[in-house]
Amino acid sequence: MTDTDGVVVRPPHDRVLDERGKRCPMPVISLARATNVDPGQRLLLLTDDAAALSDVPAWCSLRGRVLEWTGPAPDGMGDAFLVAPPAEGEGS
Amino acid sequence: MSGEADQPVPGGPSSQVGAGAGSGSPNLRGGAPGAADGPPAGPATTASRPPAGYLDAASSEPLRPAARQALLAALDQGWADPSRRYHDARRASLLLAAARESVAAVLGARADEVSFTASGTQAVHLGMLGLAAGRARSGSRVVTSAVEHSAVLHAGRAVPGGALVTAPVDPLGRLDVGAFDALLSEGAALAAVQSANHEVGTRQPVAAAAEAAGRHGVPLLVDAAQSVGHDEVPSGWSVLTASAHKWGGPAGVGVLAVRTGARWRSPSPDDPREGGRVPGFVDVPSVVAAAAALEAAEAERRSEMPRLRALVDRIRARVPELVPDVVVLGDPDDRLPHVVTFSCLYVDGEALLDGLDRAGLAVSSGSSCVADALEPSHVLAAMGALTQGNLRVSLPSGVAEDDVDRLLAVLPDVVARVRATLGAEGL
Repeated sequence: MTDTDGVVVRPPHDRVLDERGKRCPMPVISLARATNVDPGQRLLLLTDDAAALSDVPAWCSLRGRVLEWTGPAPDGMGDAFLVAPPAEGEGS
Repeated sequence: MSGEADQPVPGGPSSQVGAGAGSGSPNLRGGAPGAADGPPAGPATTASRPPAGYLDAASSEPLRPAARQALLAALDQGWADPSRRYHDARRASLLLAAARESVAAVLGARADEVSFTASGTQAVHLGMLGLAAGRARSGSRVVTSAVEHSAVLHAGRAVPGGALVTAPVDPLGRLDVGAFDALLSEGAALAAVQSANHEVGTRQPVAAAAEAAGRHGVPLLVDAAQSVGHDEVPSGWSVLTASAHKWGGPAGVGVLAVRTGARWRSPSPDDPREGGRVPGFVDVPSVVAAAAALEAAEAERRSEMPRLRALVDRIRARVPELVPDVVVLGDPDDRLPHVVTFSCLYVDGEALLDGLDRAGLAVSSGSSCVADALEPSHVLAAMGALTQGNLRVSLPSGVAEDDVDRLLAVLPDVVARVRATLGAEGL
């Protein structure tokens, strides 16, 4: 989806976790903490840690979360990951 | 020392030395009486006994006792320029020829196909750049797997005017041969595939890769650094490379084997040494020691590697039982016998290495916080594997079972402490 300027807009989410400037494994730990606080949230993780490209998808599959979308951060600084709860009936 | 090497066969052709390679005739290797003073109790008198707690053989195997003896003797007897015509030179030349015969036999090569380099990395560089030079008319595209050693990837990028393309691997780290084949079908100057992965131990489908390369008329370099001395050496290569310190030889000796008829042209300025393939004065004593180490490794391989394989199986089974949230990586069966890798969630690799080091255990990690480049291992990334808290445990020949027990005993606590420090308990 795009906004009026034609810029790609991140998909809808409940909360942004801006972990930029933090190194592995802190971004994934923050993601896990936020998930623990409210498992139903759709979280947009922003990070510039190169390890996140491997570790966020790996964490999602270990924890049964759904990595719905990956792309550049909205301001172009780093990467964004949209992590959502599992689909209905799959539990968390 | 046996004494024969003190008296080189007068005017003897190198074939007399070569014929004895591996069987104890005029060379400086294996089974010399000097061995009697050395090894502590072990399965055999030539067995290595690595330093306690050393579990990083894939980085470098400790020097084998047979190699140490051969090196010391060859420093006295193999120092001269092997290309000259006098007594000491002939003696050096005979030692070098015997070492070459011996190494070639293990690699499934002819002696004249084998050259010694100053490192495994130099062997890879010369191997790849030489194939590219010999195939300049076929373009400069280089096809490899995504999980090759950095020496292969860097050499691929260094091919003049070249483009490096990498074929993906599956989650176990194994080359996708179909994708490799498809890349070759678009044309390539050369291809390179490792015998087995250096980080996760997964064996690569070298036979299938060689078949594909052959079908497309593309020469294949096989980087066998992690397999030689530990595992079967694959065939099907145009160029094979290896590194002596990975099999318990000294550092500073690599092997470059170029198949007769392969279109390989030296990328270096002319130098007649080592068959015109490797410039510079060859280090005969170190080469002799490397050959002695390989003979020792091969002699014990069939008994020692199954033992290491069983120890690795134990680590693979026990670590996930002892430590929560661990992913064991690589192929559980079709793998190197001595390497196992796993990643621990919510752990930084540097803290993990330091904790194990304090417990006297030496291992390595592919996590980003340990690397100079601040990026995780390209191998783990290509596999889509968890990269944090990554540990590679690689067992040296002769490793004490006690070291593996100790690793399993201290790892849960080391991981728990790192997680507690990061506030990651119970996540």
